[in-house]
Amino acid sequence: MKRKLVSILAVLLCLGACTQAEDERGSAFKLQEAAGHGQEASDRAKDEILAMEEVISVRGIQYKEEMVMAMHVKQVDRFQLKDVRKKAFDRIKALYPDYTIHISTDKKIYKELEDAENKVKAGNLSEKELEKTIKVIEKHSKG
Amino acid sequence: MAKKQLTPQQQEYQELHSSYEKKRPVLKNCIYAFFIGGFICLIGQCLHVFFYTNFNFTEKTAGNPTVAVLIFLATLMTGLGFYDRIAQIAGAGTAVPVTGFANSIASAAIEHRTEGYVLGVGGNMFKLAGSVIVFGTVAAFFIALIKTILMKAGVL
Repeated sequence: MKRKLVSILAVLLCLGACTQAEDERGSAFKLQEAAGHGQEASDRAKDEILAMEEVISVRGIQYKEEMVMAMHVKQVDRFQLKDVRKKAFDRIKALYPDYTIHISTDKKIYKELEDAENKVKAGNLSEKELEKTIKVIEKHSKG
Repeated sequence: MAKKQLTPQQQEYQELHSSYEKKRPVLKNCIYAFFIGGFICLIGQCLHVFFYTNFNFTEKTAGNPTVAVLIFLATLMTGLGFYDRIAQIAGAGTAVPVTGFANSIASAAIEHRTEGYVLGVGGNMFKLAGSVIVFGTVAAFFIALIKTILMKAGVL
């Protein structure tokens, strides 16, 4: 009987593993100051997305009037990824109605944007390369 | 069919028989199934992350090579005789993931290999997995039908 109770408790502990670390929000990686070329819209959009309850962290870059954003969503909200993407898109579209906006929750795109942001911050990404990167990430987010 | 009425002697024998019968360790089996099934899923998740990190796959498309690798590994392990040993311990933990489906096809193919490639392997390959495919397809059809009706009605 005791062994059974211990086993049940062990299983319940495993199942109920709490994810408190998830509630820690990351701060948006601001690019405008470092990049020196038009990233103010993407910086503002990051703040807007980060204000959402479901989002843990966000990455994104822009080239002229094209913007690509990727976000990490809380585990419990990953069941409604489509709604979260739509909500984020609507919020940014309200801020920048003339922009072409791509919102993704794909971890691969998040990783690619992370690399692109680091390159922008280090100043290793020219305008042309930035445009090319945006195109590649857009292609990934469609596929 | 009505259940046959047992005589007092038969009932007495049944009780005696059940008192000697070994109890199934249901909880232990559940724990084994949970952890071994979870471990298979963990391997799948690791492969998934590996594919979208190191190759030109997105999170969505990385599912295809992941499933392919898991099926390949399960078929290989079935052929080498490891999978059945694990399945004896884990039960549903190895039957529920995609590896269990691969195992059911591979083991049926191996079993009927002696009857020839066409009628043996080809004819009996889906002896176990056939029911999964049929009921999966039928269930998917009805679920899609219900979803379409609800979407047309404006509920979803």
